[in-house]
Amino acid sequence: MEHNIRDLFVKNEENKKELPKNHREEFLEKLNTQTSKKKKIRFFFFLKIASSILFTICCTYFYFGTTSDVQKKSKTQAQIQMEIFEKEYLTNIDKEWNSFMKIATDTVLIKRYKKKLKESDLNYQKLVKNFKEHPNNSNVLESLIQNLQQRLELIKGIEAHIKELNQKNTSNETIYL
Amino acid sequence: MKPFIYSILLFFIGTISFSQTKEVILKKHFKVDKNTVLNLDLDNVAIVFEESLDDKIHFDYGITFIRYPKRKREDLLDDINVKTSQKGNTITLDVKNSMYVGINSNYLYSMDSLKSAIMYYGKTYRKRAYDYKTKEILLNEIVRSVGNDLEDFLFKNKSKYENQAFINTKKKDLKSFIIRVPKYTCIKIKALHSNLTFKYDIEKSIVVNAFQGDLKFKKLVSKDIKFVLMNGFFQAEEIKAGAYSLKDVHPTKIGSISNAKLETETSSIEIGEIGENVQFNDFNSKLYFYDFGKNFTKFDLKGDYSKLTLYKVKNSHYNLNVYGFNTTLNMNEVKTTFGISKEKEMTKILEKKVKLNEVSSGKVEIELTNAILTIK
Repeated sequence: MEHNIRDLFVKNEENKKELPKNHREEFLEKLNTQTSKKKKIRFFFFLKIASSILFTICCTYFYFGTTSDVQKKSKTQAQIQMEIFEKEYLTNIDKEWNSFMKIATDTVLIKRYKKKLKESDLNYQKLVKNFKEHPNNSNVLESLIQNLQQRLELIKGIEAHIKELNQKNTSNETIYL
Repeated sequence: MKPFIYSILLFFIGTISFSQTKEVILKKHFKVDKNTVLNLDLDNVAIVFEESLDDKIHFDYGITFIRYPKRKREDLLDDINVKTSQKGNTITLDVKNSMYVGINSNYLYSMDSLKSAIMYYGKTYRKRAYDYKTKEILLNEIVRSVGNDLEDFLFKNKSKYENQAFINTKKKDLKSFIIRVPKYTCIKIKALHSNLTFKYDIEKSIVVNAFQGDLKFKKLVSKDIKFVLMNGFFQAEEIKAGAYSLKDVHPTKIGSISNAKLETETSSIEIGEIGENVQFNDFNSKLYFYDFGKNFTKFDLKGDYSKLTLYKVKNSHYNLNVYGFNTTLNMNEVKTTFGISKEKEMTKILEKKVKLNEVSSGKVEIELTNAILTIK
């Protein structure tokens, strides 16, 4: 069943059909409608991108918003209590420091104590970091409370010492035993 | 019937294995000789040192878990990092545990109990009066002590603050790390938040650098002893030599001391008996010197903002000179401040000479600035 392709085209009746007169106008009209459809598709395409971005932003916001809420809520009892202790201690330390500053005149002593308290606070911050990682660990907890207590005792001690030095009874005569 | 019995057995085995499990962390030994140096780099660990009699250093580290869920056990074991190595004559032990692992506690307090106990301790126990103690009483305190002042207080007041319901539910881990060392071994220690207890006398060189460390010794005899300790506690039954730098050490308890140099800062220090050739430099510590030895020859102390208490001075057999600037003397329940001069010169506050027919046991020279001296 071999065919010559030229014969096939000669036989094809459709080729003999004539084009309508308004063919050009119809074609242009169809072409115009086609381009407007494409524009519509492009518009929807951008709308989709915008909506997906918006959706991502919303999801991110809700995810982080809710998880940070959960984190806030999931603070352990020990952490909540420690925050109260810390606030209480730091207020007292601050109070004692202010009354120490009122009676202290030795600048070298003040400088030395500032340095000591700074060192102690640096150590405390390291412990806080540890406590965040292990919120129920009694070793860290004990070290935290001990650090605050030591700072408080330290200032109270030097304050009492200065008060004792400043008492009224003075002398410059050697005592012989 | 058989499956029923098996299930009961299985239940019991499961319960027992859950309630108590023992893990071996390190069990190793090294052959050593007189040139061996033991190098220790320690974080968050409690170690007991014992004498080894077989020319070997033995490391033996294990944990017994009580009421510890498997996952928690694994978490804790993950945070333990122990490594040993040998290079020539140096044997090194590295323990880099996280704070989560911690060191053994001698008590089990709930958070509320812990806070109220610490607060009570801060208000009362720490301010307790330091009455005269003999060397023997102080030695007894050292031997019985479980830790620093606070730990001792918490341990002694267990019945008051511990809550049985809390203890019954609390998981527990009992750690045991024993190193057996021949007496002739030199030791170098770098320790952070670690408790070190020596159960033998140190006769060879030991160098210790510790932060937040609890250190307990029997006799420290060697001349090559050097200690730098910050924030912790230090107890020794007898010091016969060495240089010691102690900062924020509460308490320092020493049965007797001789041929030693001390640099101290904001610590509380109790010494049972001061022997020959002791030099002391202090800033703002509380010093309690209960007695001086029979032939201590000379004792020198320089103190700035120190609070010094001397006992039984009137009945003593030594010569004493106290010089001071802006220093308060507290004697016979009378407080007097001495040496307040614009020139900031030292003035002689106190002098005591031995009686003519007495043999002097030594001379005490004290220089105090902004200090408080109590004579009891």
